[in-house]
Amino acid sequence: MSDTDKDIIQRVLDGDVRSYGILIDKHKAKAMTLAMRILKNREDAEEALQDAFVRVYKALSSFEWKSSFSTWLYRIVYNTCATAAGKKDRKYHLSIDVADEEGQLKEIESDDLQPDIEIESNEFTQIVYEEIEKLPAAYGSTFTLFTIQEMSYEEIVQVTGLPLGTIKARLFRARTLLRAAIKKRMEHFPVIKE
Amino acid sequence: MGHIPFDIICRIADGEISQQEIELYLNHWKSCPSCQKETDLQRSIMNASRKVRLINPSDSFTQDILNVINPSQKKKWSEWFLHNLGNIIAMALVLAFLGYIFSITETGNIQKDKSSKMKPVTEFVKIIKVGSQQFSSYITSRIPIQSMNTIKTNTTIYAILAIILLIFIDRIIGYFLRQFKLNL
Repeated sequence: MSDTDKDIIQRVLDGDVRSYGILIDKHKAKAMTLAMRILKNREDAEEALQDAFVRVYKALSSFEWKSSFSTWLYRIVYNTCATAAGKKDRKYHLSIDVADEEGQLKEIESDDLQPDIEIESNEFTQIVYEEIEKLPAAYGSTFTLFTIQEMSYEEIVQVTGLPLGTIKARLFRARTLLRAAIKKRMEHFPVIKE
Repeated sequence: MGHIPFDIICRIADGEISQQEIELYLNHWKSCPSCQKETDLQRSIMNASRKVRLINPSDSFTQDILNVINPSQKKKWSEWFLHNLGNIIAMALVLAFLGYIFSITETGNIQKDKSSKMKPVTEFVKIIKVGSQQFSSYITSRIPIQSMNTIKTNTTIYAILAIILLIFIDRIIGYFLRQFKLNL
């Protein structure tokens, strides 16, 4: 039976620093995915993530369990990456909402029928993955927190420090952009027979 | 009524539609293949998003962090020593060489009671001394240095040569250490 975050943290606070490695291994993949959505560059993401984990270690004794450890961790990861992104390139600054070319998609066009394809296939997953990678950092990071980290709106608010309305707006834009991009690619998608 | 707005489609796909919205849109949804397919597509996109492969950091990621937060004292000393080995060897060689040169330049003579074993070394030092003096004379002839006696001029030249030699030896040793990739 795997240890809970609370058990591992208690061991770390008792002096077993090596246990912190177990905590890192448990969360590093999802944290790295989030960092990549923000910084879009592996080297920068890994550097920022290392910095974040060191900060987490130093602040462990002051963590009061008002939220889950993962929420707290992702908050530090998000802030560290946001700072790095802001220093690196204003284009990736997470407070700037990129005006999407698709605009606000409120109604589906009447002739907007989906082709008959197998949309649970590996190829479809690959397309979705590639299009998520292309999302602007502000939308991609929020979308990742919602899907990969499986956070609720309230948890995403805690992580990002942004208002609920902004979170919902960013998620909406992310899904709008994804829908348009995937639909475009699916026009050339072959029919897959089971 | 037109098609269901996209934000409502998303909420239907996520299972987060309110009772009021159900009453408003259910009849249309039931009779509209386009809205049904759009809902299915949204569900599939969200399901696929949750299945996308995670990005892992490098293999040494965890260990690198542990090294930062908990560097062991023993490792720190040996790491420092190897990292500065080039400097240590270079400084030791140069200081020994300088000390020997200074002893010769101060007395003006090579000590007559040197044993036969030191003869090759003293001969080598003679060559260095003569060469340095010639170099020093060349420099002073080109750059007029007033009120500076020969010993001090020579000392200055030796010091400059020593620094150059120190840097050179450090770089060479550092290069070979990196080539052999000594890990701790």
